[in-house]
Amino acid sequence: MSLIKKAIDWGTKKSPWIIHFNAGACNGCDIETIDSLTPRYDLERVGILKQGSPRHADVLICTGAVTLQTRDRLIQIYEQMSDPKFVIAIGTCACTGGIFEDCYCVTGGIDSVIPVDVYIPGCAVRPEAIISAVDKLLGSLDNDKKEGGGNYES
Amino acid sequence: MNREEAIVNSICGRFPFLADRIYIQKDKRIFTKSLLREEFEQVIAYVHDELNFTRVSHVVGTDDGENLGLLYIFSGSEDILLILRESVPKSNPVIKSISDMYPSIVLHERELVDLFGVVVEGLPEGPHYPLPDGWPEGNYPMRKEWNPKHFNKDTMTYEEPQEKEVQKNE
Repeated sequence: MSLIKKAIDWGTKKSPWIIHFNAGACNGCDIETIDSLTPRYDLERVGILKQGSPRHADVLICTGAVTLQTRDRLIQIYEQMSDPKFVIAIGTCACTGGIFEDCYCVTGGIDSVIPVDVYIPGCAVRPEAIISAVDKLLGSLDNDKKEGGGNYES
Repeated sequence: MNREEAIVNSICGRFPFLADRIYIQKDKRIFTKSLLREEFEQVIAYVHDELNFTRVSHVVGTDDGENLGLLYIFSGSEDILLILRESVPKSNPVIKSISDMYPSIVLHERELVDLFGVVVEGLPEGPHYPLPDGWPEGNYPMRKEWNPKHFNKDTMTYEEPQEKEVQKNE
């Protein structure tokens, strides 16, 4: 078991696969997310690959405040991902609800529905911030291992 | 006589009751004051058929307490916007769909149904738009008396606080 776990951890750190979910964003953060994947910033050259299916993804990248219409879909997608799984909230709306907090159809930030590992504030966030966040997420995985692990054990 | 005045004169010639309720706000912008439902239906048919205002770009809903206001923005082949206002009482907010003349207005009319509780005659049945599935009936978020703080998003119920009991306690 430990050998398989080591292989999974190595693979996750070496090449995290992401899936992108828009929970009700204005598309500003979506554009920046795609921008960080396309040739100008090119996250793919370091192994970060965008996947079409949540079953193949390690990292869920969420943009926008959660609306009542997307709440159940977001939980469904989160539960389809296999462990270990991580969530990054991109943008002010995804962190706290932003200007849409207390709106009649908005439940709040991403963390009002599912646990979030990394928050990136900004409206809209810069692609550099997204790259830094993914880097910090993988760094936190390393630090956790040094302290004996536990938070990210599957 | 410039183009705006020509349009205003044409409408006033056909509908004399509009003479004191239509005005040119500035260049390329013609407004009317609130029209009743019967007047609005006559005017809109004339505007579409004779004056070639063949596009509708916006419908704005307003709530002034007793009445619901609807503001339709039309444009045509020229760069002039014609803004028609309609007013319906909140107790009986029934309007007639104009989707036979302007097919693209169906989405706007659905928004009026969901957000203001306007009853649109002639609008085909369809899903909630833009409110989520399972939204309770009788809740219209853009009306003044609807307070989002009293709406429970988990159970999807609207509960007004009981003010009378609070007064008794005081």
